[in-house]
Amino acid sequence: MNRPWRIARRTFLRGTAASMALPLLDQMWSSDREAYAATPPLRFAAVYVPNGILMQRFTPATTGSNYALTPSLRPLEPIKSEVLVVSDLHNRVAGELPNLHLAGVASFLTAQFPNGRDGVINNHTTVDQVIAQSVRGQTRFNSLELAAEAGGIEGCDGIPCVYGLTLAWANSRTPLKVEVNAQSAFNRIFSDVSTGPNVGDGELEQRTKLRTSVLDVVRSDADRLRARLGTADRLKLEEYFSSVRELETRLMQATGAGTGQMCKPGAVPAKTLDYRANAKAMLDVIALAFQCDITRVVTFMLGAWESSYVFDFLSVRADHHGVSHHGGDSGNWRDLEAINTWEVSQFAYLAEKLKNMKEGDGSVLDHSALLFGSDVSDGDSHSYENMPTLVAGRLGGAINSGRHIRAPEGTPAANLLLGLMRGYGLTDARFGNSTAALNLKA
Amino acid sequence: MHHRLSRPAFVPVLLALMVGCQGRVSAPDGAESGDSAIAGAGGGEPGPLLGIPEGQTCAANVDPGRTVLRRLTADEYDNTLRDLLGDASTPGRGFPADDQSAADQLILTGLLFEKYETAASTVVDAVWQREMTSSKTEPHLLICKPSGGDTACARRLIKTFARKAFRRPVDDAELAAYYKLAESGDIVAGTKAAVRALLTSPFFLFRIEVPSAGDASKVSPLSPHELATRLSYALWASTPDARLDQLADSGTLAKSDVLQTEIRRMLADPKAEALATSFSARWLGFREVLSSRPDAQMFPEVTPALLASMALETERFMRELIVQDRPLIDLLDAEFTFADAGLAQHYGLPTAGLSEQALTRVDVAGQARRGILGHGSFLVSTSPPTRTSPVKRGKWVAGRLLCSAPPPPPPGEDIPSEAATQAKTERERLAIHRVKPQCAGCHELIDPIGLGLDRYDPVGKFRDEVKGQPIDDSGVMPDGTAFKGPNELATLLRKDRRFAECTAHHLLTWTLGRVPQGADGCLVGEVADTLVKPGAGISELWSTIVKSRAFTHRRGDVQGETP
Repeated sequence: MNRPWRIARRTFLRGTAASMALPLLDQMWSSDREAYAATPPLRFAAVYVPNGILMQRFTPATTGSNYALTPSLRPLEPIKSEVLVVSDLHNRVAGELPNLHLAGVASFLTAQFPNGRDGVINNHTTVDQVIAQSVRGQTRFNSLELAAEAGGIEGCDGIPCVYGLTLAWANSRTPLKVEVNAQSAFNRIFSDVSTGPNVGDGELEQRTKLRTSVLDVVRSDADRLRARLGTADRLKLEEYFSSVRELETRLMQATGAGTGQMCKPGAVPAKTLDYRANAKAMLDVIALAFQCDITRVVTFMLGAWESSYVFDFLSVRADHHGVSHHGGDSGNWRDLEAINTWEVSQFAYLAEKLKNMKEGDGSVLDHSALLFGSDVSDGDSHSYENMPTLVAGRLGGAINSGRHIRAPEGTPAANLLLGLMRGYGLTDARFGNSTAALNLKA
Repeated sequence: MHHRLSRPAFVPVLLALMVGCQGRVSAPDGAESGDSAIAGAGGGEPGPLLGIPEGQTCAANVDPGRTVLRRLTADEYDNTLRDLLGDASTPGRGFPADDQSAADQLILTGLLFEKYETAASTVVDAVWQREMTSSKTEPHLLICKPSGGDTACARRLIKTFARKAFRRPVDDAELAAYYKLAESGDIVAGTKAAVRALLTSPFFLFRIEVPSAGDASKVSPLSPHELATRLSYALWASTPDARLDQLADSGTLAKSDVLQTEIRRMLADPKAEALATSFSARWLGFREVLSSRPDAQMFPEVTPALLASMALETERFMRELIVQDRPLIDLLDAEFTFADAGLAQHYGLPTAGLSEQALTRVDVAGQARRGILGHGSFLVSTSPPTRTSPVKRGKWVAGRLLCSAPPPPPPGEDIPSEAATQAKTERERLAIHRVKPQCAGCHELIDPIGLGLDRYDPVGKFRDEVKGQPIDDSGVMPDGTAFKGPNELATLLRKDRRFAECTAHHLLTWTLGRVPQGADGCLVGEVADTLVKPGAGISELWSTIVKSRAFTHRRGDVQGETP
């Protein structure tokens, strides 16, 4: 909580009220520069794309730093030196569920069998949440769950659809809901940051005080209710208690410490029904949230599980899921390559944006790991072998990027997740079905 | 919930997957424990209870089951605000989607809680402003106007609204914290905050059924107010109205004849359209067509407005069945639908007298297009952009209408492309792949259904040929019955016991907030029997459900039971 590189919220607000925010911020920034550079926060983002990847156009032919970019990886050109391409990781644990896409989404960040039969919600804590919990309380949002496209809530073959609606599970029975509207996401995250001209210090504080009082009242209702409930109902009510706590913690922080000093939220993104615009606005929100140190952990679904989106802006006429069942057809391959290239370009956009955000002696990207992946590798056969995997960022020096590496045969994707956890200072012996932590420097 | 299948136990299911869907054809014996139902489900699905003998009734002491705390869904939340505060802003549409109506799967997380908090603030400000400035109508909230040191008004306002928001009588003691909040500073800001708190309290956000004191595991009838709440959310997806409150207060609601009168009254109320807009929307998925994207070059005539008309067609159609108290089974072959001029033209129906803007009831007697199987919402949402998919249509019918969806293909199996098979028609292509035994088991259940509907093109129009090949829409169901075309298929589905049981399954899941299990088999059977009873309208169906022990009673926690 006591980070020397932060300025008090009230100072920040007075600054903005006096319409001299930016010069003031820069001054404060330079005075704390050294202290800040010593402890830049580490961030984690997972970017998911649906329906797998056409690996034939994705995996580089050679390893090392001089590999040639494949057609689908071409958008990485400007940041090739910041990206680690990892091939030959499998995620076989996902199998054995009636819907292989859902199983793949649910195990993407757990590397464990997702249960989910018999309509049961019983997955595992995801790696993003493990990381988020290790830095709990240090930022206003413990983590953010975002998606550019709303997920299907029908046709889940008897598995709770929620297995495909989010990447993040706080624990075995708490899938974290995603925000799918970039404008709402922006407003939620920055509502207490971008203070309009009419909101003075006192008014905001008064509002926050009342909100906190409301939470006190409803929590005492929940306490009274709890005393009258049986075991099963109490477990359900626990969701309520933890939701109240989460908001309460944030409100307390809002009146105390300020937001990240370099934070310039800028204009609210326009409300849009256009998928591309919404996706881009979401990526902007993620970058801003990292830059402002509003959160350290984000999961983002660029497309919905088993997405049937029609990429007409790429001149693809069939729907994504349909095309992913390519059957070896050359037309489908062409379409998939176009879709995959666009997906990689979105990932590259985020990485490049973070790279251009100066922080300490480097950039925000230098202090981040951005993981790119999907629920399956080849969408036609729903394969869990050779999962498509990219990692952008150097994670404070924990990753030696700019290379293509092949994992030894039979390496589970869990080893990569455990390797990433090491970069965040986590010393857990195992994660999921890991056999060892993948060495990201060698 | 029950997590019965441990990992090793799953191996036999995998084997079943490999050999196809044989396990599906013979319905499991639902009268036994849920295990058999699950084993029969083939893909490890939650095992709808199927194959329940006709004409059986539930024993008087049947286990009524129990539902955990049930959070309001987004629709229920919006409807409830509408009825409590006259608010039409539908904030719930911006909430993260719920994928289930079973209570244990209605998860609450921080994000959703924040949405509730924000919505409460916005809605209270709006109603406050509305009722401060206008006194034309009966106030929803401002029965008096709090000001200055007048705490009596604030208390009265809070208590009156709490009674409605909590759906039960309240007393001053439990509202003490609310009164204190209202009086803590500026009385207006404080009272608004207190109302916001009422709308954020677990007593509002959850439908609460608390076991009476004593042995928490024993069966007890719902309290009158809990019963009113169940009834109201079952038929209206909203909060009880003044009359239900009154009947609950007087303790008369549970009487059989009172319930009967209320069911009829409630179904005649416009609020019962929730059964079309919420229940049916989920069951039949008719809004999925709104995100369908038929190929613009092949089908330039398909506009977003036309797709919207298709979704509305099914909604209005279901509403009509309810309003007219028709048998619900008529959804398969009713001789009417709803259309505007554009949709009628698209379907090839007469357009004379139809509005360009609004859908009206259209007679389709004697036409080949009847019932839900002829609705664009189903036909288009199950089609890829450029062609039909008999597999998807067949799976939709088998899954949604018969609760018998086969599992997806095992890893590594897929239908070969047209080019690979050099098949002239979709029928030939599917026949080639059904030669594989690992495909045949399941696809024999769904392919004939979809092929029987293939005279509807990807956008729901009639056609006689595809790429110069005439369409053969004949088929043979797994039990050997032959049929030709949509209307004969609808007739077969009407006689299929699985349709009646599956519909019962959907209705009971919606109503009880849990998936019917083991002991509910008899009720599934009773509801299915009512559904096929000649002349029995929707009100009789609801009567069977509402008077059941599962609806009127509740079991407490069994020791060690976890959700």
